[in-house]
Amino acid sequence: MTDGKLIARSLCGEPEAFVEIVERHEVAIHGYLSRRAGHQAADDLLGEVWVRAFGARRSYDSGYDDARPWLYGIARNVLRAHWTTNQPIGLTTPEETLDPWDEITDRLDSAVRARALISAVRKLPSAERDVLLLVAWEQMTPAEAAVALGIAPGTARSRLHRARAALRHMLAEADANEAEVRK
Amino acid sequence: MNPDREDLDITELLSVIGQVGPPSSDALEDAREVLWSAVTEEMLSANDARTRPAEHVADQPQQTARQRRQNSSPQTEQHRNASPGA
Repeated sequence: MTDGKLIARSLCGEPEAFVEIVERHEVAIHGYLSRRAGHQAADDLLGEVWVRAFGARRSYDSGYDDARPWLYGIARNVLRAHWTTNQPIGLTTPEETLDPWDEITDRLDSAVRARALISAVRKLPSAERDVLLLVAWEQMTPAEAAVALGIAPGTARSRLHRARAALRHMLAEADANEAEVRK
Repeated sequence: MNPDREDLDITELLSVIGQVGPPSSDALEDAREVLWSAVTEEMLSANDARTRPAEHVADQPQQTARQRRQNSSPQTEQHRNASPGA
């Protein structure tokens, strides 16, 4: 049975049918939360995603068989609320400060290029970074990322294009700087 | 490096940096518990909504009896007598 049909059933006197949606996608959504906010925050926020999704299921477009993009959109809203309420004093971009980039950098300390890439991703505008990471990390198509972000598919494609171009540019600069240092 | 090759390189590197460990079963279970609370709440309120009309139906005979009493009240009798068709 498709996700769309399960959600429809959950609206017709069988709310418990929604639990199967959760069982299908919990690992993916936890992974998304974990990549964007760290493992502990993912543990803390996952239940909130399910409750919000359950409460919002009437708004689900039953034309979509796969609920994953919709769930990612809800998870993203939960993340944004988390970043807002956990904003450290004096910092204007909580998303950057609370993303687990430092953790990743430590893990990949030897990979110079990976560090340059992380730095480049951090510098992207968040709208472009959101699309890029949904495609690269969550294996979504640009059209699915568009559903998750509530934007037009064309907008998602152009943001992805800009993000990749910016990354290429920033990495080329980092390579040039590295080469300069080695001279 | 050509842009396509570089995009591939970027994608590969991004997937490396995006690797995270699997969630613990406890974390998944805890989150499902939170959902079940919401599901149960909805089931209970749906149940309440289903039983309320039954109570309403059970009230009907009393209302009818009251109406019957009202219909046979002197006021109603007067009104009936005063009506043009009476």
